[in-house]
Amino acid sequence: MAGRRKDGSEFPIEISLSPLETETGLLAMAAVRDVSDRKIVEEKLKDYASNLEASNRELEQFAYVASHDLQAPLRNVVSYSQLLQRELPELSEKGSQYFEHIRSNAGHMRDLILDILKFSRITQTERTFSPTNLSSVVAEAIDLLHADIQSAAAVINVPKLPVISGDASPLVQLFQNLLGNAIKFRRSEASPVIDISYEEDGGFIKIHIKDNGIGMNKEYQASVFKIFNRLHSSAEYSGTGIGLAICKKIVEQHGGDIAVTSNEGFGCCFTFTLSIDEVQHTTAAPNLH
Amino acid sequence: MNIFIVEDDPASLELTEIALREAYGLEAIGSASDGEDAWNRLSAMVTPPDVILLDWNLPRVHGESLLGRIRAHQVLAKTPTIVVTTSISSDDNDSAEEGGADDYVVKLPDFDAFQESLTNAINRVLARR
Repeated sequence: MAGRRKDGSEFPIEISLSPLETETGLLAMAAVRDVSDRKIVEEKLKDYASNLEASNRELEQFAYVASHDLQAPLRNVVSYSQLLQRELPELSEKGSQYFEHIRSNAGHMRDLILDILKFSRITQTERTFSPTNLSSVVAEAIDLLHADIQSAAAVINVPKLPVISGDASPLVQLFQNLLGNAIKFRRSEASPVIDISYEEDGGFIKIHIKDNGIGMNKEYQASVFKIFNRLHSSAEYSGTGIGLAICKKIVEQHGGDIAVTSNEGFGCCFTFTLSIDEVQHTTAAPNLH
Repeated sequence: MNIFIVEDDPASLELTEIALREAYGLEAIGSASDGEDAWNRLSAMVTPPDVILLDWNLPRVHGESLLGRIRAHQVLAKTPTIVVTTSISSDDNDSAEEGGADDYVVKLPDFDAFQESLTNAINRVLARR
């Protein structure tokens, strides 16, 4: 709705009407407000939001392209240092140690590049939802972790899980990351025992993955899902600090939320929710915090 | 054995050549540094090579497009072609397979592992001929 000034120019207005009881009967009181300033602020906000969205997309695209293009030079560094080592048969112990540093650091850098690629792919890929049997999803994740499960003599207890509307491939990644962490962060004196359980909560399924590992201090429990956040040195446990950030993205894309509870030394329990039906972005997941 | 390598990165090309020389004792290996150069050389050949090793992310003419041309060419159509790339993306793997690649080798950072997967792929495609 627009008002017109004396000079003929138009401006946005808002009219509010309220009833007014008088001795002569019911009247309506009208207040006409010039909302030009508010409209300008709204337009600016819309511009900021769309610029922010575009810059986010560019950043994600940059992360993908940069990590993709970093692989080739990194591979050349590793391969040529190996060939150089071959050319130096009389290498001292210190020299061999330096080559080992090149090899292990390049290996870590490759893990980082591949995890950043995974993270940006998860962020950029549009999900296609279809009926997904979570029992099959967990079975596939366990299959992918077969070697780790065997070498750690891990036991994973899985109940029969329901079918939800989801995207199977990232859900396999979600379980693989969480189960893989439960195996990796095990106590030296006990084989990993991991219990998966679930309950239904409104339109959501709430899944718990509980382990008997080293656990984590309460103060780190909220920040552990932030990208590059690590609780251990690479000498203690290898990792990139990206796995749980990937988990959070996947859960959010399925309309849910993820949290962890733990007492240091007594294992962790990761709990996440997934929408049972196709994700409606207006429905809020049960609060886990 | 006559192998033709399409690879735009000189350092990667040399690694592949070293791997092949060591494994098969090859002396002369043909190569091209971009998709267009590769197509000019390949399409002029009277006798096709035994195997083409094709990088995927090539300048000017992309590996996918070059593979399409190879498969549509009268002389080259049946030449075993292996895509050799740093990409571990399943999308690239799928499009290479759909485009008619005979095998797919990831340029692993470990030289010995790369050499093994490359020679395994070459032996596999030659055994299928």
